[in-house]
Amino acid sequence: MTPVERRDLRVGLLFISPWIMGFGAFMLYPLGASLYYSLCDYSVLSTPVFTGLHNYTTLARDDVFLQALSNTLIYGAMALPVTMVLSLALALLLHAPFPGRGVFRTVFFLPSLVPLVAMAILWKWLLNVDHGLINHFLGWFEIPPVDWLGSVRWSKVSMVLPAAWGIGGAMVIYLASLQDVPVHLYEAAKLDGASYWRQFWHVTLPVISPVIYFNLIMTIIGLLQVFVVPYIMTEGGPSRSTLFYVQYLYDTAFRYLRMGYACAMAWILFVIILGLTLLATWATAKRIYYMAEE
Amino acid sequence: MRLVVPVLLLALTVPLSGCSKAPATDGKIHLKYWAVWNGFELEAMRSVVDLFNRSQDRIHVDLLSISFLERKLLVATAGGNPPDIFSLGYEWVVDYAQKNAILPLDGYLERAGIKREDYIPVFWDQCLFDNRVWGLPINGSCIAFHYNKAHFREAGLDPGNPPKTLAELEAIEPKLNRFSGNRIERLAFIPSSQDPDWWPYCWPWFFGGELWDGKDKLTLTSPECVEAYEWVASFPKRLGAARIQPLRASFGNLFASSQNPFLSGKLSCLFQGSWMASFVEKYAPGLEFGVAPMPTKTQDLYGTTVVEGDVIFIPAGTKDPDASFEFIKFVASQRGTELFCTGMRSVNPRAVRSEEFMRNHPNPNIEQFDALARGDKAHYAPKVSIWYEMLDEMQVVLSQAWLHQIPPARALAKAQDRLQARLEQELERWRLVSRARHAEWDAFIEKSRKGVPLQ
Repeated sequence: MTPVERRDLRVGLLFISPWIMGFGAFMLYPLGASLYYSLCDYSVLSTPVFTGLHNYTTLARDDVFLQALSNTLIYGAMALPVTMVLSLALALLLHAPFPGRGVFRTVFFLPSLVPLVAMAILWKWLLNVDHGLINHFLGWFEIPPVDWLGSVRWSKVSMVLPAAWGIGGAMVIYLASLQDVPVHLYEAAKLDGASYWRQFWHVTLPVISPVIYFNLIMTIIGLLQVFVVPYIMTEGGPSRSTLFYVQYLYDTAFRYLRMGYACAMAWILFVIILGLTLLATWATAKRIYYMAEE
Repeated sequence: MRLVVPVLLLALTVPLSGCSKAPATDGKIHLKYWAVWNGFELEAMRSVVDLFNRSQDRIHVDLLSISFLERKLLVATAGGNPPDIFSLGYEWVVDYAQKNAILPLDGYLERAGIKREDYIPVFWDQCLFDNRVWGLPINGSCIAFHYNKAHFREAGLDPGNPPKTLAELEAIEPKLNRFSGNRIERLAFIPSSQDPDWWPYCWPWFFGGELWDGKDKLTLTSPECVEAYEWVASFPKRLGAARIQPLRASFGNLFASSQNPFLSGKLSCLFQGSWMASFVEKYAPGLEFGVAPMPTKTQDLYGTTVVEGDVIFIPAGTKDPDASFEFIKFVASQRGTELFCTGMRSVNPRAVRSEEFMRNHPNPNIEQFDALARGDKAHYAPKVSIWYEMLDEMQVVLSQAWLHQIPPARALAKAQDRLQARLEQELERWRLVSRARHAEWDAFIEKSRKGVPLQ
């Protein structure tokens, strides 16, 4: 390294030092601490006592933990296809030229600007058995009122609805990527006599595949970490049918004062998300097309 | 270049400077008091705090309304910056004491001459753990049977003579229930009025059962407990689950509104707390209701109630516990407690209350609540450090019974297994650390008894 380079490095490091310190203090340290606490009996209020893998082995036998995990996976399996398909479908519709397109784009994006707490309260009202709008509409078709939040059968479905409502973010990302698809590819496809569906399948989809992959990963992460909406709508009920992973983690840490145990749960969730992300990466590896590589 | 380092250092100090405490300029000791209340309840405490601040010129208390107090207290205590005083429900006593989050008051109480006899026993006992006193009760409430007198009259029942046994309650049901097709127009009573319920654990008491043996064993599978949850399950069975579920569900969103089924006249009888009077006054001023003990399985159990109390604590790690106790002593005095309980419309937990307090009390049924709390059938949550796990588990038992997911006996057996294992884990942990804790506590009690400056 030349003296000039060395000086540049020093100055550069100095300039980013607040961020390095911030990263260390607010990210790296908490991460390391939570890993350590996950190996401890720790309640926040008293000093941690090292217990090795005890928290992890206890978790494997904790019925509520397993129920929360399975609830979360079931919820994810229901919500993932719904949100993925819906956001892409909406983006395709709003990509097509028609008058008032800008207004519609705004309208469909708006729900994702609603704070999660407000959204949860709103949906709690919409899904109310007696006074909710949804049952009111169903009533027009002579469908008897559904106990959305009070029955084990419907409670998880009720959690998918707000998720489907908040897809504006993913939709906008799709919209941006759709506008990026080179026009000449469509023109070439049209010359070859490709229908709209074939164009979509052979041109649009491959070109936007990196974005689909990105949205897939982000959606998986978001769904597995679902917390605010069910926490406010049902608090995990009825009989733990909507108790999701992060809520159990939160209750364990702050309501039952078992921070060490909760930290172990957090690390398990990290491993699960990492695993699913790798799985998704592996499964889609051959199907993603990066134009820039050519 | 030469300027870069000082500028960066300066920039770094800006966010940190917020952490340091500005010294009080008036020469007084300033105490932070955290409480969960808001609205008229917060005002009730504020009037006490103001009175204290005016009564002397050494200490100034700042009352703050903190939502999710228990969670913020955790973080604040861990960060070494707890409030000086806080109030929470009695349910936290065991967990906080075991985890060294609060200070034992025995030394102070002895010095101030405050004893068990000064309080209604149930409220004092709520503040005990391991033979030490961890806080003082500052207001109490009882849960009782509220019934709509107009409905009773209309159904040909005597509004001065509400049912005393569960059999009598069931007998008057057909007279009060009104259905039109599959819709409820009016229902006599349901034992689960929201999800999550407020007291999903209370029903065994009305059948003569207990939740634990008072030491180290939970007793959730006792015949009385099973019978209690079978009774809960009998309601959806008898009245049609699909038909009555909407009424139950509507409590969740609508409790504090004129749509509350009891306030709107859709429910004739409700098991609720002494605060219900405030809701009636606010949302259904015309509602004529009576208050009585909840009907019980047998006559001899009549008078059974659930008692809840707010407790004032000194958190561990506070800088001047002597000053904190000065304030607590004031709140716990007859004058302080009566002022607060009048504002809260609640029961005075002190053994002696002035005639004036009872006469001017804004709750029209204060006599009944007062008598219930003083009775010998007042129950409260078991003193176990896993109380909140137990509460959540009992909610599951109640929901499973209500939704007929599994038979109540099985739901209770599952809860018993899970909770008993957890309780034993916690007791084992407690056995390991209790000696060290006892030594710390007794040292503090000794110090505070003598009044040695604690700086």
